[in-house]
Amino acid sequence: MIYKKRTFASIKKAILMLLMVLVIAPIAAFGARIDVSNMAYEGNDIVVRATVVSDSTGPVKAFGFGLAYACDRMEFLGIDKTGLSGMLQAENDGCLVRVGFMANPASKDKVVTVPLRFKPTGKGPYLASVARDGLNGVDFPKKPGILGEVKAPVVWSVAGKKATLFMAVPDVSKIQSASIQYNGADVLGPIFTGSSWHYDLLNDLFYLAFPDIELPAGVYNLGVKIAYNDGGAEVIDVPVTITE
Amino acid sequence: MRNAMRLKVLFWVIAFMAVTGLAFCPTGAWAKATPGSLKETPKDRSYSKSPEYRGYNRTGLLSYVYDGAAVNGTFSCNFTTPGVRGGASTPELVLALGAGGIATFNYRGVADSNYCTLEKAINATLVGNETGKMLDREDYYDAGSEIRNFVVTHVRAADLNGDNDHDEVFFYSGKYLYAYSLNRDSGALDYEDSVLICQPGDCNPDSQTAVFNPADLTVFKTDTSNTKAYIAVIAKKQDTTNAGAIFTIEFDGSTNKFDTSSGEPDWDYEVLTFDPTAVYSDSASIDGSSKDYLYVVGGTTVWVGDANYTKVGNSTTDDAVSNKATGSVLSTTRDVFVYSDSDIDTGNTTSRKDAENDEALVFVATAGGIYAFEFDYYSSSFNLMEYSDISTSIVGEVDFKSVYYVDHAGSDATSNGDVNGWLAAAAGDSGLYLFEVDGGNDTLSLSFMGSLDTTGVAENVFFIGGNSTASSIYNLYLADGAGGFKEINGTSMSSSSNRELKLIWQWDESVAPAAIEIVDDDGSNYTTIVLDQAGGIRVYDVNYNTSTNHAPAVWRETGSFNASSEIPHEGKLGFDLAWSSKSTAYGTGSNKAGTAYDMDVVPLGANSYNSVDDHVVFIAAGEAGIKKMLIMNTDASGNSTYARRYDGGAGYRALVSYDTPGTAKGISAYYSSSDSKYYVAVADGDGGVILSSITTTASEFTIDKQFALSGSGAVAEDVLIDYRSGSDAYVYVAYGDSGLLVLDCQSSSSDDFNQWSNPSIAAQLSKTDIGGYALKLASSRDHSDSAYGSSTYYLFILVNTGSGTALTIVDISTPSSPIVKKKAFTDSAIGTITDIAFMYDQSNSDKRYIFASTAGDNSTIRVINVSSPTTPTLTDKLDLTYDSIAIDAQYVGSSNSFVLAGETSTYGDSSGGKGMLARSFLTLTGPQSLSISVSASPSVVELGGTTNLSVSVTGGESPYQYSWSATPKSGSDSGTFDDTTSQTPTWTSPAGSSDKFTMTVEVTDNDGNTGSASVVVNSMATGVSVSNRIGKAGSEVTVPLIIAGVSSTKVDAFGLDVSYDSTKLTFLGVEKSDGLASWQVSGREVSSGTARIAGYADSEANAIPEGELETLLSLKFAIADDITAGTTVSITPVDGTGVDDISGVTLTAGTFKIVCPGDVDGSGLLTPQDALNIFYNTLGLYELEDDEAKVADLNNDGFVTVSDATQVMQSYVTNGGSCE
Repeated sequence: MIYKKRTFASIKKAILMLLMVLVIAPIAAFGARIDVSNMAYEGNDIVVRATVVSDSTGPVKAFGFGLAYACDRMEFLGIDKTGLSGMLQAENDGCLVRVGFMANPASKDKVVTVPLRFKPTGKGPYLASVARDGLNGVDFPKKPGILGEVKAPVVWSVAGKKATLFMAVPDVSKIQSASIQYNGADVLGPIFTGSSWHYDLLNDLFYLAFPDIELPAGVYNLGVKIAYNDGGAEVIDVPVTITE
Repeated sequence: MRNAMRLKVLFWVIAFMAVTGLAFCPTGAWAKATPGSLKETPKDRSYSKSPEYRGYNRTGLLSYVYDGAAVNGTFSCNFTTPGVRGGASTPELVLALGAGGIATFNYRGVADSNYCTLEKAINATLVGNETGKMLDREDYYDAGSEIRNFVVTHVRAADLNGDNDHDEVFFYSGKYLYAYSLNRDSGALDYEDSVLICQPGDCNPDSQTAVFNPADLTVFKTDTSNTKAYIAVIAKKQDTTNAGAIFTIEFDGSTNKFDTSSGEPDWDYEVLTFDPTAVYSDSASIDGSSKDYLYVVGGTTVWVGDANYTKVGNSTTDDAVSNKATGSVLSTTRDVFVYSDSDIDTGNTTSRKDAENDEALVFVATAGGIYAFEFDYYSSSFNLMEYSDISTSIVGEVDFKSVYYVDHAGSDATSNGDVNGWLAAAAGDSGLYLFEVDGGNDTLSLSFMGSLDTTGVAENVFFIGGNSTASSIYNLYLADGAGGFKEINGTSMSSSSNRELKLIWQWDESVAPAAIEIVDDDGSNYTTIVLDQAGGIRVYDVNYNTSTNHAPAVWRETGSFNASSEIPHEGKLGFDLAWSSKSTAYGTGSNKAGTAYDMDVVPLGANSYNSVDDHVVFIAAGEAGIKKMLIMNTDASGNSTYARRYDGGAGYRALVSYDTPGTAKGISAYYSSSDSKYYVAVADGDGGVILSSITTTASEFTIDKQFALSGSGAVAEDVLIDYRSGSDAYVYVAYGDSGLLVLDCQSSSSDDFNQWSNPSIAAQLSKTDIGGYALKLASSRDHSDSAYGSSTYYLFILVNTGSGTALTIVDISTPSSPIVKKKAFTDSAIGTITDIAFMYDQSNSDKRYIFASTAGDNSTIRVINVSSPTTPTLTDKLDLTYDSIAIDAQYVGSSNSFVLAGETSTYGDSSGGKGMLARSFLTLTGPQSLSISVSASPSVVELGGTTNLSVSVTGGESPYQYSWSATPKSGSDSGTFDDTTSQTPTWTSPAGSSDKFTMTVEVTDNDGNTGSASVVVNSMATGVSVSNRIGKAGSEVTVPLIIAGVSSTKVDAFGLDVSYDSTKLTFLGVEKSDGLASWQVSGREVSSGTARIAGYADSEANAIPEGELETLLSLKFAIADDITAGTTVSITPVDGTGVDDISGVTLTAGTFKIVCPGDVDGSGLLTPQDALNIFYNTLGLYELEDDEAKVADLNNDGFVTVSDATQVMQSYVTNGGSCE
């Protein structure tokens, strides 16, 4: 596949333009919302508290979503007991946890919080992001759950033949240029376009999740190059291996 | 099937409603709040504890304080007779207010507890009015009328009869010198005489050749035995450079007239060769005989002469004053002050020292520092010895406007003479400087004690009590320009660590409240803390007994003192933000007053608001940053009865400041019981947001996080901490053009604010979302946590839309997902909203209000009923005297809840303005119910057709507001209204496909009562149409054939063909509809893919009326087994085959969509929404159409059950809801 070359500088401009758009009209004022940014340790486990808020018309009745997570360092254990009034189910599918909820008629909860419990199986940072929306019109802020210090800008998580690409790039405002090279082409643009992303204004952190990339068996090597205004640079080779 | 039967019943209910086109819906409602019983402080002084003075209600008072005069005396209180001033030597105070004229005060003791404070004893007669014009003599004086139109910048008072009271007040205005008698008890000023300031022989005001502009005056001699006073006026010769004069004249207290000669003022006249600026007189025995000396400064000249009062008014007009010495300075002179004493020089060790006679220390305030001279007589001549600039080497170059010295008779640190005293200097915008002077015997040294940035413009220190000591300063009187008059005492002055200056009393008409916080209830009063625009904190008691109906009364601090031996001035009336008090040893540090923007008050430590308590006050002080101070409920001895203190006492810091990088405009604080400290959020203007923290006793703020959004309009205007018990803590930021920012500052279950130094943005609503530039915030959690029920909260945002202010209401029940409920509500009648406050009627759960203060042409307290956040309603208002700029409200009970509004007059220029604190009781009336009827005509419309809607309302209070909406049953297009706010709108149906619409109108009356009613309108193709259906492969389905809107005739028979894809559908026959049970219907396949159907009524009576909606019959099909989900099949009435009564009508095809089992909404995926629809259907809460019910029956057991819903859900979570 031939990708149109796109530098990270232009991506950065695009990010800034989108941010400007966000400032003008970032979030629909109405409609259900889902947020998974609340991620914390509980004992030795990690719990992602996914919060769904109803729109203005009444309580939460039903929702579904897929949560992409860094499955190379986290293992999904299940959903904690919630006391919610309704049917709550979750199923792990590769690097994706699919969650469905259907409220009992008597439920008046305008906010439903689903605690998803994971076990750390590798070194952090631990990442999770909403990647699938099972309710039409649900707005999710795309803000990921992050636990631990983000150092490496790119993380592959592989389950079977499906790979999920996470990017967490610090000091975005100081980036001079960046690219993700694959087979001689900069694929950052298409990756950026096809993923859900979030820019953390306060921490100057750019976050991107590209879930469920189906790949034939083989070794895929991405080269990540990020140059900063202060002369610093990140050059990382990030191989991902898909086995039969 | 059971569900099909439900469908039919529902259909008939809807059909009935459609036919009648009428619905009725009485609703619950809420009451309105009507503000009234307005009381304004200080205009209303009826409360016995309030300060009072006469003449306030004169219009247009200006109160820029330029100068003052006071008589030194021994203070004492009269505890037995309230209202009667103290001892005979109690001083009066006279203030020069520029165009505002003159205010006079004296001090009265008050028999109230054990204190005696100045603010209790005010008598004032105010002279002058708002015009500020300087007029000629004839203009100002009209016998028998008020005196007006003075501009008074300097005033002096004199005791003519030796009773230690001021009897006479002298001032100049324009070209005239005036004399007024002063009544020491009432403070009244009565005109006595005036004279033109003129060169002898040139005193005709109409033909005066040499015009003089006076610059200062002094009473250099009082002859109490003859009740005479001698006044010296220095004046600059108009239009001439370096030319001036000293004019001296006699005033006779027996006749109350200035001395005249041949009808003209009998001036003596001394020429000066410089433009004089200031004059000071002092009697001393410099050369061995007592003389009255005049010290005049102007330009860079210091001029000393003696004034012989016996020669004033004699036949020679230029012999009363003679020059004795002259000196010079290097900067422009502003003021002069002289201290003389024989002990300045001790011994006779050199020829210059003169132990026997007086010496005079001359302090000169200049634009470049303070200069000092010693005026003495030795070697048979007067000499003016120069100490040069004594301040610049210590404090740098400062433009000093005035200087005042008082000897404190302390220990002689240098053993060189006996000069030990306090030197205070007013430095305009730079505030007040205080030095200690030590010297004598030809030496003089200065020690810097501190500088204070006063809230106004420090114009003049015109008095310091003579009883001041080395450790205490009493009665330092400061004319602070727009900051009013201030009395300052110093304590522990000899201690470098505990030295403190206290603001004892302040008279400032510009004390408009910039922020108001109602805090504690003592059972009859609500303690209210007010941040004044002038930069001070004051506390008021607001009595909420409607029968008493007092205006808010200001607190005094309770002092603890021995009345017989101590100066009774411990009671502060308020607290000036510039006062850094003990926190910094020398009064230096971050002692800027700044500009009062915002305030938040929290109880000290873990205390509650429910009783009169100690409080911590956090202030956003604009360019001065943020401040924290304490207001305590005990006096210095720990007594709590009537005891209040504007500082924390032992162990606490009275005032802590932090100078933020931006302009602190908003502040919010929360006390964490787990951390025992306050978390303080600051909206720092273009400096962004600051998250700080501080403990109760800490001396400085800890800055935990600071950030700023980019963009010129990104200005942090206001901030609000929202702590959710047991979960998160959020900070809302009204961020100007950047909208509303929600910061998540805690992720733990305790109130430890564990993300305070590393918050995340939980949400952001843009300027577009909230409808304008975000200015101020209020919360439904203010004063009550359950205004909208459990866990439901709203944020009220004052926004600027670009064309005015408006109110936006946001649901913050989940702060990370704020939902705008009403964007930019406004009304042309509101005016400019300056502040908002929320109040909840706790006895009526559905009564909630926003009170708005407004400014401009409509200065009011406005009531916005926000009981329904989606439909706020502007209701009542209360007109105020001045612009209202701050507001708070408190629910007390239905009969005495109240609103407080801060008012300011922007009248005049920066030197003017005045403020009030207004209180209004609220009348809360009972709820009103609305009865609403709504109709639609016609109730069935063709696709794209129109219907006329109408609503009528009874109950409540007109006018009513209407809000129409249309909800389609199955589609997404809701059609269009010509006007959703009309009482009789026209609605146009979508042109696309048939659907059923519920037309709902929400009605809001003028008090905010709301209700709603609905009517159903069917939109479908006119003529005969095939309904859209869904089905699953391998099942049977029925497809209704509908006739609607055929108005040309009754229908008693029909016949037509329908075509379909025979590879996917097999025609099975027809079913009668319930509506045509008596009809005969039939149908059969006439060729592959075509069925012929027909029907007729058994009688004319059962014919379908013209224009009505009816189901002719239902077509029954079997769906092939091998059709994939998502396939759509058309069922088409064949054009031209209509016969009998339906011949020629429009025929409209329908579609039949094959869906996977369980996909009842036809989305192509099995989702929780499908499961929910099925689940609710089994409970009778949701009606599936019969085709939907068949799709929902996943297990094909012939019933729709919970098992089917569960199966759908499992499909979603295991494979994403795919049909595969």
